[in-house]
Amino acid sequence: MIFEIKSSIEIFKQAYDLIILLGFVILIVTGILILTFQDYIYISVTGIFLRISKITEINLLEFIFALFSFLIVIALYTLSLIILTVATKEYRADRIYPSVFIKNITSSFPEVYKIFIIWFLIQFNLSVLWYVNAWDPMILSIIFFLISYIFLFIPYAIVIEEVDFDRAIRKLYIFRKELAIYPIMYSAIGLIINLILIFIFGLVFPLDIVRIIMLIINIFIIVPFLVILGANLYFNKFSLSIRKI
Amino acid sequence: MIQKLILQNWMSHRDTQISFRHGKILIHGKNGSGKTSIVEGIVFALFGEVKTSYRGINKQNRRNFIRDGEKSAKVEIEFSVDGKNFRIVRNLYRDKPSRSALYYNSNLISENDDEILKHITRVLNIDERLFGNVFYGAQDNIYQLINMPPKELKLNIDRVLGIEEIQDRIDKITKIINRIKDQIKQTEIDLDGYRTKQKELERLKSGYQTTLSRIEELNSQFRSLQNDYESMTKQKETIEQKYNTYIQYRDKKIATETKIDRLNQDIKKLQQIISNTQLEDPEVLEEKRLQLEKEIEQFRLYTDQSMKLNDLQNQLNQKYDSVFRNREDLYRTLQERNLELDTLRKELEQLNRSKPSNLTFIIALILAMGALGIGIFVINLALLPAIVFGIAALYLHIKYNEQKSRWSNELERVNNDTKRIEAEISSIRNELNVLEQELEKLKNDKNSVSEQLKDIMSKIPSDYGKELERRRDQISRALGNIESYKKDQKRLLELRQELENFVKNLESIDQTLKSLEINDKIYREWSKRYVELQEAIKRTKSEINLLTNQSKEFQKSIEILERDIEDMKRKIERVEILRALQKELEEIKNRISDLQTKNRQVYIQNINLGMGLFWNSLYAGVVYNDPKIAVDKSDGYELKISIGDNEVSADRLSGGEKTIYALSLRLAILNLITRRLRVIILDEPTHNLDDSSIDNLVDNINRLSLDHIDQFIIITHDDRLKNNVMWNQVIQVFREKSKDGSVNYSKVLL
Repeated sequence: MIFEIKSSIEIFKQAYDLIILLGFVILIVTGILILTFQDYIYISVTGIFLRISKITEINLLEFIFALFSFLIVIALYTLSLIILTVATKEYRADRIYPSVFIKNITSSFPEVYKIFIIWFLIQFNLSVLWYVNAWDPMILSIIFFLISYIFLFIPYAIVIEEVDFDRAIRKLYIFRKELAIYPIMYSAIGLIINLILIFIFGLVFPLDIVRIIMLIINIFIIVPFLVILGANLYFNKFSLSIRKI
Repeated sequence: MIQKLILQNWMSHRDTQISFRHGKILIHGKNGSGKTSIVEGIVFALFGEVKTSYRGINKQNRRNFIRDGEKSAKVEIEFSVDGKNFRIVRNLYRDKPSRSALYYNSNLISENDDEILKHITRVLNIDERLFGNVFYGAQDNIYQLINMPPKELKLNIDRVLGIEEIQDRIDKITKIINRIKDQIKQTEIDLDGYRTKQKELERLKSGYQTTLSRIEELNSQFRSLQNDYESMTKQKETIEQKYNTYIQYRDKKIATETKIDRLNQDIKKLQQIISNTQLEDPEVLEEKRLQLEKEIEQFRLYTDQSMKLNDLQNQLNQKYDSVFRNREDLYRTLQERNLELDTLRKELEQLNRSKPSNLTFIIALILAMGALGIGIFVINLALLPAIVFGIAALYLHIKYNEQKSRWSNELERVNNDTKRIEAEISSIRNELNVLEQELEKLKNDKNSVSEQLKDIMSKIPSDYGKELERRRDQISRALGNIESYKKDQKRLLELRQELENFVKNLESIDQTLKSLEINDKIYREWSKRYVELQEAIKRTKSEINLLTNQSKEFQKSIEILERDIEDMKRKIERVEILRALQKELEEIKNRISDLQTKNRQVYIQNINLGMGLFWNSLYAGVVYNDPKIAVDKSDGYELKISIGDNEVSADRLSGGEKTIYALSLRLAILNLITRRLRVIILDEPTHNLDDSSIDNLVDNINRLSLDHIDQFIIITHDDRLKNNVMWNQVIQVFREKSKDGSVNYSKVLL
């Protein structure tokens, strides 16, 4: 695990220009989205969420715009993830092929994008379902965590192994059996970093400011780092022997 | 990319020229048409040998591959790497060494085999072995990597990846480290005595210092003693002179004292003698003496007479004894003569009895006479006994005469002896009578003398002589006493005079002795001190010598120990260096080992990733996923593939799948190790494949992307491959006979 973290830090440093660029793009689009739909979404300390209760109040034009905006944000996130993953892959594989690099990005993008769309739709539908039936939101949180846990490494499988979604799902099962601990570590690291930062900033700043700071930190540091770390962890699949954490 | 190949008299090819295109290339032909020779030509042209081929072409046997009936062969290849064009020409000769040449952009680079190989290896970043294992899947050898045992697979892959060389280095470093460890261990054993030696050195140094200070002390003592000794030596002569004088005077004194003592004693004795002496009146004494002398004279007279009588008596006794003895002798002789006479008489009687007889002569004579008569008158034969009896009678007569003569002589002798003895006896008897008379007379004389002697003896009282003697002695002593008294008196005076002299002398000696101021005690003490001083000097000197020797020994031992310790220090330094070296080497080894592990991880990750990528692009099915190299229990490599939830060995794949697997592996390795010569050659990949597998292979070749490779060359006799794959180039190889039909050679149609 230490090796993966070190490797991730190294890649993070090397690709930081790109991360900044992508982060800014995402930040701008997210900012527009927030400003445009401030009544329908809210910023939590860990991300941006839809206010399901307000959805019924939205008109068609607004809905289309919002949907389009979400698709753009997800596309940007997908692109960021793919670029960082390919960068990690090339770093770990120690070989750089510009043509292959681009081809890898372009060929992986639709598949990964598809996944995030599906994931967004699942989240959206389940949220509506829970809202309508007024079920315990804690259960919904657990379900979201389980789904994200299961599908966490699918985008990496698609990018690194250059396979389609179906094959990625098949590979996922094997991968989980071998390295089931890694997604837990991955999730735990993300959670711990966020909680620590929230606690630190919470002591100094009011909650609204903390939300914005955390959004920025997540966009520029935590999320890119976790993406790189995930790719690194996934890369252990190709190791000669399973590395001990 | 391989551009052109020329084969002249190479195996079955007489004159073949092939221009290769980019993409998928098929070399098709029937068995024995010369397809594999083309690939072997490519490998041979590049590396000068084809060890991976089943023919095993090497530098020694390569001339055997010249076409039958031809003296030489030529293999030429043109290829490009990163836009640079190379050409290699290899000429083989049956009767002379082969020649090779490497050209770069038409310029000759080298004509030396080894140099060409080095250039090619550097340019392509591969060697023949690697080429054979990765680029070229020889006939029946496509699945070689899949079928390898884990250890061998690991070794081969490590070798291909260059990791084996690192392992070699690690092993060598490990050996060196072990040797260093051994050396350190050995040296540490040698250094066990270091502390002991250091302690010993300290002890020796302290001992040396003590010895030096002791020598210094002794030297000062010696000097002081020497001074004393010199001073005493100077005094010695005077002292000894004095002492000798003293001795002389002392002896004199002793002698004088002795003399005085003796004189005193003598005086005392004399005084005593004088005082004890009782003197008689000399006149009385004279009278006594005269009276005594008279008596003595008388006594002497009697004594002389008695002595004469005694002598006479003795003479008579002797004579009587002699006569007596003569008489006794005569008696004995008489007795003997009588015995002799008796014997003679007996002898005479015997002789008389033994008178010789002549009877036998007479009988013999009668017989002789009778026989003679008979012989003469009766029978002649009787003459013979008559002669015999006659001779016998003669003989007997002679014997009788002899005996008679002897008897007569004997008788005469006995008679004479008897007469002589009888006369002797008579004479002896006469003598005896005379002697008896003489004896009688002597007896009477003896008696008379005895009477006289008794008479005289009665006149002399017993011990009278002694009495006279005693009285004479008494008188003599009394006279002597008087005489000696006078002498003693005189002597006493002399002695007293002498004593006075000696006493005076003694006083003088005492004065001298006092003036000498020395005596035995003083001299003995002085001498004793002198001798002690000498001995002390000697002792000190010997002690100094001993200590000097000891200090030299100490020095030597210290030097030896210091050398030893210096050696040991050097050894310790060496051990430290060795330890540092060992540590460094271990660090290097660990670093290299880490590097090796890291390299292996990176390489295997890449190969696994590449295999997955190639497998995904080549494999049309959905059953198998994720081909990968895994580590087995024996730490070897195992080729695996996932099927559903399980990971299985690549052995269980079908022939076509194996081909794809092997191809994926080769491509993955190729992708990893070189991007320069991006060529894959598979010789008869359909060998042992079933129809469905061949169909799969066809599909996969059709699906094969040319992103990663420039040329994908398949050699086969299979028409399905030829007909169903979209080939960029098909090279048809077949056998053709020469015009006269005598020679059979390969020909190529492009």
